[in-house]
Amino acid sequence: MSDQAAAIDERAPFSFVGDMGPLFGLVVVNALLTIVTLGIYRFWARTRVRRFLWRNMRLLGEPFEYSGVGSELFVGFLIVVFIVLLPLGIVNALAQFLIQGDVGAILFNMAYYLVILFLIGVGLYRARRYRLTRTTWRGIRANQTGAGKQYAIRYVGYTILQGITLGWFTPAKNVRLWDFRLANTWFGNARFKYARGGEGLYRTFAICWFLLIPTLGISFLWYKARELRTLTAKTSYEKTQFELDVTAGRLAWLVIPNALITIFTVGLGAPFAQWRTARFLAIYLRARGTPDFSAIEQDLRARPQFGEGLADGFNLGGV
Amino acid sequence: MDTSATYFDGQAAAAHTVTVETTQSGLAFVLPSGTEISWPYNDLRLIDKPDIYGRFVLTSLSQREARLSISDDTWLAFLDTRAPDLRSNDVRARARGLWVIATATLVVSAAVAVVLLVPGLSIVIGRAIPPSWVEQIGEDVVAQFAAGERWCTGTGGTNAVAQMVRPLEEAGSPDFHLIVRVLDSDAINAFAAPGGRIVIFRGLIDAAESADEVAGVLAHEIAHVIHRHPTEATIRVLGSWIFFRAVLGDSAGSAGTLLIAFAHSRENEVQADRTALTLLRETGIGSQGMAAFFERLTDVEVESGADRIPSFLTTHPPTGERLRAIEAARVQPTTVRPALTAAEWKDLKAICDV
Ligand SMILES: [Zn+2]
Repeated sequence: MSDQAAAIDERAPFSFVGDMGPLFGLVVVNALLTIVTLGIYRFWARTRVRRFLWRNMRLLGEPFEYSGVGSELFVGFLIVVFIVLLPLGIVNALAQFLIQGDVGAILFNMAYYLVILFLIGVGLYRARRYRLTRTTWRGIRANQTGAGKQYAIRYVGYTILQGITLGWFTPAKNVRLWDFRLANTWFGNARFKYARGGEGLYRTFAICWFLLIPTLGISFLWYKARELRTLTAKTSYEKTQFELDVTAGRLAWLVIPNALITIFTVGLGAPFAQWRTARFLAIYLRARGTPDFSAIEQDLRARPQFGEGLADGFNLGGV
Repeated sequence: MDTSATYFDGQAAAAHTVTVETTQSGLAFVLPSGTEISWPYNDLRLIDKPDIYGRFVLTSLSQREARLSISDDTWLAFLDTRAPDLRSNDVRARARGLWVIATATLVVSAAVAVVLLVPGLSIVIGRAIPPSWVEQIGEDVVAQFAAGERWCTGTGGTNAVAQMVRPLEEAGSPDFHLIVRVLDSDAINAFAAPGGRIVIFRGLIDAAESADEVAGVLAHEIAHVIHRHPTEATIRVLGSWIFFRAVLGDSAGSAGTLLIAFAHSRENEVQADRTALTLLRETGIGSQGMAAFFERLTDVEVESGADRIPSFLTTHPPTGERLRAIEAARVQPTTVRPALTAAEWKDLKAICDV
C-alpha cells in the first residue's frame, strides 16, 4: 500500500492523484442538487469539489487539506447581496430613470463601471485570502495579508492604463499584481518572495502584440506562457525556487479544452477544467531547494470568517 | 498492530516519522525527541476520506492542529470499529449552524417583505415619480409591444376612437391624459401601459359586434389607468426583478418576478371592472355591451380549444364569478345611448384599412 516514499522526486514535488471517476459522480450530484435548490446549493457544491481537488494534490507526498465549509461561502454571499449588490442594483435602476441627457448618462455609467471594477478587484483579492486561509498542508495554514482595497486600487489603475495603452501595459500590470499578491502570501510564518524585474517580457510581448490580428489572438498564448514562466521563476519561498515548465502548446492544450468543457456544460462541468488544471500544475510546477521545515511555524494571523461573497456576486469563478 | 506514519505537530511544518501502536484506549506513538503522545479513540477525527493509494489523515480533538498521515487503509477499517466519532465533522468550522439559520431567516423574511411590501411601496413610489417619467416609461412599454406592427391611423376611425374616449375620460378624470391607439394585430387584446397609454388590438374590434362592446373593454382599461395599476405593476416587476436576481440568480429570479407580477393582478381586475361599470353608467352607455362581449369570448374559448384562446382572456380570465359581478351590477342609466353612431362604428371597424 505504501506508494510514495520512493516516488517522491524533489525536483517535481507536486503530484495529483485524483481520478476522474469519483469527480464525475460528485459533479453530477452537485449539479442536480444545485438545480433543485434554485442555485443555493452551489456554495456547498463548490466546497465539495475543492475538498476533492485539495486532498488529491500532494506536495512531497503529503496531501493538502481544504478546511472551508459551504455555509461560510453562503453567508459571505448573502452579506454581499444585502450590503453591495442590492444597493448597487437600486442605484443603477434609479439612475436609469433619474438621469436625463446623454452627458449625465455617460458620466454615470463611467462612475458605475469604475465602482464595479473596484469591487471586482476587492472581490478577487478577498476570495484568494479566503482560499489560502482554508488551505492546510502538514497541519500548517496558509494566509494572505494586505488590504483588498490596496489591491483593488492598483487593479483599477492598471486596468485603465491597459486600456489607454491598447494593451501595452499588460506585462507591467501582470508583473505588479503578481508581485503584490506573492509578497502578501504566507505559508505558516514565512512569506513568498518575488524577485523584482520582468522587463524581458516586453520583447516577447511586442512580437505577440503585432501578431495578434494575423494569428487571430493565438499569439497571446505564446506571450502568456512566457509570462507564467518568468513570473514563476522569480518566485521563491524560503530558499525554494519555483519553475513552471509551460510552453505555448502546453498552455493551449490546457486552456482551450478547459474553455470548451465549461462552455458546453454551461458551467456545470467547470470542476473537470479545474481537475485538468490541477493535473497540469502537478506535472509542470517544479521546485529547487527545500525549506527548513522545522523553522516554518504555524500561521497565527486572523482569518476571515466568511468567504468570497464579492467574487461570487460578480461571477468571477476561480476554483 | 503497528503501522508507520508521519506526524505533524501543528506548530511547525517538520515531519516526524513515528510508529503508531493501538492500545486499549487509543493510538500511542513516541516522537524521535522522546515525547510520548496518545490520542484516545473518542477524540480521533478523519480529515478526509482516503485517496486512491489509501492515504488518509487523522487529527485529534486534543490536538486540533496536529496531523497523523497514514498510508495503510486497512487501518481505517479498524479505526471505524473503535473510534465512534471518527467521521464526525465537528472538527471543521463550528457554530456556523446558527449563522445559516439566521441568514436563512433573513432571506425568507426579505422575500416575504418583498411579496408583502413591494405592492404597497410601488403605490407610494408610483405616486412620487413625476408624470413625465411615467409617460416616458409608458411609451417604451408600448413601443416594445408594438415592435414590428403597424399603428392604425384611418382618419374616420381615429375620430371615432376620440368620440368614444372623451365621455369616459371626462367621467373618470384619470391623472394622465389618455392616449388611445389601435394596433394592426389579429390578437383579441387590449392593454393599458403606464402614463395613460392604452392600446387596442384590431382583432378585438373585429371580434366586437357593436361599439358598446369595444366601449366596455375601453372603460375597463381606462379604469386601470384611473387606479394607476400599470405604473404600480411596472415598479413591482422591476423591484422584484432586482431583488430576486441578486439573491437567486438569473432563471429562478425571473420565475420569482413573474410570481410577484401576477399575485396582485386578480384584485386589480376586479377593481377595474367595478370602476368600468361606474364609468359606463355615468356616460349613459350601459354595461350590456361589456357583459355580451365577455360572454361571447368565453364561448369562443370553449368552442375552439386552447390554441385559439383570445389573448385578452389570458390576462382577463372571465370567471363565472366575474361575469356574475358584471351582471349583478348591470344598473341601467336612465337614458341609454350607443357609444358611437352607426357611421362612427363603421369608421372604427375600418380604422386599419389602407
Ligand atoms: Zn384588466
